[in-house]
Amino acid sequence: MATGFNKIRIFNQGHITTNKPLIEIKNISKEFDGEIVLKEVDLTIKENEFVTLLGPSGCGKTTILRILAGFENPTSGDILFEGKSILPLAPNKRQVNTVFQKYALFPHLNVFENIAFGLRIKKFKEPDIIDKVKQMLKLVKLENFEHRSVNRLSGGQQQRVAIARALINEPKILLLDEPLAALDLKLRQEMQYELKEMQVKTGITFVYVTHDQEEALTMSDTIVVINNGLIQQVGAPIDIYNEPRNRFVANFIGESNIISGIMIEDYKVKFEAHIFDCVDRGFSNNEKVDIVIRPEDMKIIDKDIAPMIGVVDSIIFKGVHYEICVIVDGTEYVIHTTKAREIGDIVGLDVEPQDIHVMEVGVLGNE
Amino acid sequence: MLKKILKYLDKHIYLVLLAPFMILSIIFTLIPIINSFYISFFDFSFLNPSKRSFVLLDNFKAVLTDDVFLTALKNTLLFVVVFVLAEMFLSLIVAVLLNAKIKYSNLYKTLIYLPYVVTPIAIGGIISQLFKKNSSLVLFLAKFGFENVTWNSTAPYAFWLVLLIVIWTQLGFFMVIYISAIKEIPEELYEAAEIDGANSFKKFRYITYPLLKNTRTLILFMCLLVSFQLFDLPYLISTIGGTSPGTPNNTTMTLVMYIYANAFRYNNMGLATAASVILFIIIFILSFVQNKLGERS
Repeated sequence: MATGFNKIRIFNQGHITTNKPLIEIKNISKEFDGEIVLKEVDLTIKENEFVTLLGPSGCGKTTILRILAGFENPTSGDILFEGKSILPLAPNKRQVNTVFQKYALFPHLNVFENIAFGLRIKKFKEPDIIDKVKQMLKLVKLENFEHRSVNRLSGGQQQRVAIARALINEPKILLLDEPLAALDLKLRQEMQYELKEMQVKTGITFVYVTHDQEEALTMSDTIVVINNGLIQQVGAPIDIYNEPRNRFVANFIGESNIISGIMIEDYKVKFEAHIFDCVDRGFSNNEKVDIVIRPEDMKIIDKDIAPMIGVVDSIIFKGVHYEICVIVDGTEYVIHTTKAREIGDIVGLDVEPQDIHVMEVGVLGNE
Repeated sequence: MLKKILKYLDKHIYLVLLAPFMILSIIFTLIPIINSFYISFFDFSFLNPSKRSFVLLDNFKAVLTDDVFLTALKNTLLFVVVFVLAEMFLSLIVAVLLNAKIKYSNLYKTLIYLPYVVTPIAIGGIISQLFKKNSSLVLFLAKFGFENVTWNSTAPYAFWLVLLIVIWTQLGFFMVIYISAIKEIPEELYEAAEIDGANSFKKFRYITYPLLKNTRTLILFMCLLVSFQLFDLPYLISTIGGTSPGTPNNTTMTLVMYIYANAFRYNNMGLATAASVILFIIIFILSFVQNKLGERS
């Protein structure tokens, strides 16, 4: 319904992707002991794309990854790779490799042998193995670490070895299962940029699983938001953030004020007894809707000219900004601002039309 | 004062926790060991304990020149080599197979573990029934050329029968240790290898086997200790039908049986303690090596 949603994205964060579908997930469902964990999931992943499967624990994102890797079979549905079903193929026949959450490095082998493992299994000649391992070590910035035991590496270095070990097999798709979860915040942020850089350099499609929305927003070309085994929304990070399709997405991605309102007509939405201009259309007149306003989009203005007036209920200093909670007729609004207020202050609130995001009520996903 | 004691105990709580075990160990292990060392330098009999004469190393000389002791030592060493190799190989194979997702694997595990928890007396009883004269098994084996064989008292069958039974009874225990160690290996390692194209054998060769190195070392030394201290089953099996321990011709005689026979059948405590001191030194060296290897790994 939102006009700002780009259905086909060509550029994202400076990285060029093609529109050629590489993987098509067709109507996949999965049950474990009678419990449905994936419900008729459809998803297309394009060549050279960095796709992130984002959702809370237990939402089914890792199950999708394991089905793609060949460790699980779906209860129904199909997966096409370049137009052909890969379900009958064993994991090593799928042109897919995986970076595991806990890296899955072989503790009895050194860095070189960990990276060379796949090539040795495939019986590559020794000079070729040495060449390729050295290339990989260079790519992951671990030159001169080849003889080091993997047990003596830091978390970030182990992560790089795991990536090198996966990439040396030249997969067309790299599956990454929460690979940064075990790292501390600073290292995680550094690795986010490095992962993106590696993906751009190698041109391999990355399918990345995480529950961390910041990771997803930082690295992805496309984010797939999943909840309860249903895809909630697929889109570019900026679209997912600005135009959440339902309450779940709005809540899960960033902080939001979600208010019930009525769509009076195209471009006119009513909430808090005031009719606001907005940029949304296509709803029935007087249809009940959910409205999302991000805390940073709400403005505190002079109460004499404001459409909404409220009382400051709490204020928290967050470093870059203050998080202020304002109560308007019993409804709580969270506002991010750089200017402090006092608890009990009466303030006016306003929001620009493009910052009001109108959603249908009760959209669950996979629709 | 009480406060001081409580403070000291609080700081050294490990002493309090270790005390019961240490006290029992000292009474029932350390003192008897020291006493054995002491007795081994005397000519000593239980029938007349007050009359003991200091003989210095005569008991050791007598033991080391005793044909029965040398036979027992040879038997024990042969037993150790075969038992250790067989047990390490079989228990690993069984553990790997039963760790795979096969039907009734828990039932198989129980059946293999069962002999380990059955008392040796019961095992001896079962064996005596299985191998008694004209039993179904004996008659069945006769069809394969083993006619007129009394399995528990005919050389060299008796030795191999004892060996086979001990391997069978101990297999479950070592299998359980291997299974628990295999279960500790993260599934992700196998999945990573599978993606790289490793089949079941290669996963075993490149992941399971090397990652069980510490467990193998542990099992190796446990096997060594079990086999050096072997007594009950060979004793029970060789005495089926009232024959003397080590029947036939000491071919099933082990070091511990030799010690037992000298101490409690022939009332020669000096010889028995000297042999036990030799066995203690062998086991002590093995334990020392194991500790050193353990520290290194």
